Amino acid sequence: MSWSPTSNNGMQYGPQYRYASGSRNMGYRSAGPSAQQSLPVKSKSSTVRNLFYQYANDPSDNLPGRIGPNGVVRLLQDVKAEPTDCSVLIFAWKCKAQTQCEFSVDEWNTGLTAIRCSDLNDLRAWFKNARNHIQNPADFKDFYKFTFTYAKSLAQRGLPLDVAIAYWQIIYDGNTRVNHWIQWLQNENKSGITQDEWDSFGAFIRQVKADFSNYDETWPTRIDDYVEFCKSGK
Amino acid sequence: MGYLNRHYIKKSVDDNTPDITYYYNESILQWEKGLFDAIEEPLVSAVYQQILKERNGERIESSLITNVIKSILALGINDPELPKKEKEGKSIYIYEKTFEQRFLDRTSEYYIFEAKEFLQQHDIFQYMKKVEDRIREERERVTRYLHLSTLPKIESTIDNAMIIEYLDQFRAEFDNMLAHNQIENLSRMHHLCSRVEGALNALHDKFRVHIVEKGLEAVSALISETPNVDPATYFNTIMGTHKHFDNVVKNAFRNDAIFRQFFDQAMTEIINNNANAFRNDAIFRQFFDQAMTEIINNNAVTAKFNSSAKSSDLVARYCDFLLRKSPKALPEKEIEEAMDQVIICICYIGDKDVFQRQYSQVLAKRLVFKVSASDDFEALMLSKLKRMFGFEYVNKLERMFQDSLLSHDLTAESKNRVKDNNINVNGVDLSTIVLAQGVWPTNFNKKNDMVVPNMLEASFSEFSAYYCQKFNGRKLEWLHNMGRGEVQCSVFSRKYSFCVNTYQLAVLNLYNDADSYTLQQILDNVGITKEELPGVLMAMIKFELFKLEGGVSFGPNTPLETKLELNMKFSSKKMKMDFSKAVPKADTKKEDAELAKDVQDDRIMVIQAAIVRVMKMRKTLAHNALITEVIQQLSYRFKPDVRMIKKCIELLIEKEYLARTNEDRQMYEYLS
Repeated sequence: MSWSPTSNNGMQYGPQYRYASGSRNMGYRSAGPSAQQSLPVKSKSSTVRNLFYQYANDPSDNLPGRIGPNGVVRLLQDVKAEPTDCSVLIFAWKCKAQTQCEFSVDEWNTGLTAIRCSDLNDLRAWFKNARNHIQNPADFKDFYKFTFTYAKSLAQRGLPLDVAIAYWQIIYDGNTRVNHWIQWLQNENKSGITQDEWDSFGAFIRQVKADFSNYDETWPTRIDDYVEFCKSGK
Repeated sequence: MGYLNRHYIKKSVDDNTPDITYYYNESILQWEKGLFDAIEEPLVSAVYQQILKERNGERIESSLITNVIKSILALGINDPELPKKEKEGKSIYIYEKTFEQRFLDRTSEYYIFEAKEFLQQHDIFQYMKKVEDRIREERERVTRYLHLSTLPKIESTIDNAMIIEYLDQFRAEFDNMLAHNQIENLSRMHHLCSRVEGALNALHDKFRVHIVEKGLEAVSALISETPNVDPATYFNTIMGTHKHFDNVVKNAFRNDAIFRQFFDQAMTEIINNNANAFRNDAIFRQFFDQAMTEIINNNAVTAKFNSSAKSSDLVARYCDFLLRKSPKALPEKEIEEAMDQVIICICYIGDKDVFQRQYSQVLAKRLVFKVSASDDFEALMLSKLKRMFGFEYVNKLERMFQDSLLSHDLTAESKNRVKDNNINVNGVDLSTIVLAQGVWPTNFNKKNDMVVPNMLEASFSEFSAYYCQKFNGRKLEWLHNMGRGEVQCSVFSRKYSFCVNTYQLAVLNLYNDADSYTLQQILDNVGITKEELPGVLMAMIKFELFKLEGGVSFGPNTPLETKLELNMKFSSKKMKMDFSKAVPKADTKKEDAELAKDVQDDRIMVIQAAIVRVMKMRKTLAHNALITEVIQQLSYRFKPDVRMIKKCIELLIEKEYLARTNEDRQMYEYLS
């Protein structure tokens, strides 16, 4: 590791965590006595922060001051969630996370405040029932919209088809209508998914009946094609 | 008594005291009760008898009837419905009660009978004439000695008795009349039917169907005679149909209005009826237009070529025929008339943008190859198009034409410069036409890597130098694929001269140094691709100026190692030969595909522009309203496909010009 800790936070609140692989002795881990003294106070926000630094600054991530992909993997192991679980995406949504598989300290604080968790036990319990938090249609809509921006890289306008499909599978987990749509997309149409198509598809699943009796002409053309395909009964 | 009338009675009348009226009213009343009631029936009968006589062609003393009617009308003064103080002549209730109703009933009987009787001995055309005469007579009678209020009633009596009953028979004859172009009868029938509400509607559609049938028939006949449709004949066939039925609309369905006007002058109804007649005319015209549109966009020819663009292509080529130098060209004075016909015809074409492209294609060829018959006619045609379809429609075409005109001057100036400065250009007499980029059809703007033959180089670079000096900052690119030239050949016993394109010229130039090259060598030295080779060599091999080594025949798959030899025994009866014209078939197909793509790309831009225009104005708009408005805005150019509009909407959402509103996803909002 060629970098040294740059973040003040890292110095101040550096946790006492030892990596599992932990023989490497990283300078930033030896927190000053002042930090240690603040620990017994155990204010909620400090435990949240401490929890953050259990996963942040993972040397194999090379992302100073952030939880990176490897940190996330460890987090998910600790809360007993699979990477492809919808709960993970819901957690990211609650954190208002910007980038896939990464959390900044602010996002982490936002998220844990929003879901009212401060330690691993809380988190484990929350992850188990995370889907409850998108039951309300307005919440789901917001969550669904969030997923698009979250899934795409900044430079892109739309989602590559495989990424979009992966996220649909995560969100709708086994919904037969969605599976049929995905199957059709894979056969028919190779181009990426635009934001409008993404948003419209969410509305489509929500509003349009399975027999398409209330389908009208205002949907994007790709959904038109799909409906036509379904109606032709192939 | 005068005193009584002025004071006591007036007061009583004002106070509405019963049984007290003015002396005049009272005496009329007495007359009515004492005399009129008793003789009323025989009197009315007698009047009707007189009228009957007149109807049957006898002369009668009409002043007798006038007086009777006048006196019956005078009785109206005692109408109990009217306030007593009202003066005379306001009420016709006695007239209606005693005379009019009976008169109308008998009239109805009379005409029902007459219609039956007449039709047994005459045909429908004579019958229609009869009806018309009768209507005229009755009208005249009312104005002569009856009360005017009877007029609408008697007209509808006749309509009921003589027209409504026979509408089916009229309609049955309609096709026949159209087929035989019986303008007079059609006009009469239109007149009669327009009297009855709704009776014309059935005719409208029949009319349209008939025109479509006739038009398509004519086109089918044409295509079975000459499978390779010639633009001029096609155009004339279509316009023949147009002319024929235009005549019908004008003469059969509008004369009617004039006809009516003549007889109705005194009547208050005139404005209504007149307006009616004209409106009907407009509807007929509309149906006529629909039919024409149907014919032109969807007939045997378009079916054969599987594209509605074929019609506009043929019309564009007809324009080319009109405007091109040709021994078969029409006499000058007929050309302008033909142009007007073309404009009418284009109005019916659905995809006017396709026509624009096609026209631009043929115009470009005329201008570049200098085969246009006259600049004046080109300008005239463009101004006609502009007047009809607007500035934007002809903008590019006009700029092409301007390029061509400017290039005359440029060429002349450049030539003078060469002469004045004694610049050596190897005796090449160079004419150039400078085309503005993005204005000319795309196939005029192909990148090409031809190696400029040395004998041309001096003149090319001279012109480039001249042009770039004159217009600082402009970039000049040579489109060798469009070049033409004439060369003289001094190899053979006679001095032949050849018209060749620039590629061919480059090939010929090679043979100044040797008599034989492999095809590969030719490609390398001239800088053209293998695909272009057949187009370049085919004509010269066909006329035996060249031959392939060992007498093999030439085709696209001839191996590139094959040698191409100059035929030293070449001879021809013609001293001047044109090799430049033979364009292999594949090229035109490619052109079509390119055209279709250009049109498509163009449309996507135009539709997006229209959507933005609409949304900028409306800020928020529902999906269907947006689609409708866009279609309407673009209808002067083409009929956009709804799916394509939706695609464009999606593109604009993607580009963040529009968004679906949060509350209702059927609404769009404009994002500024």
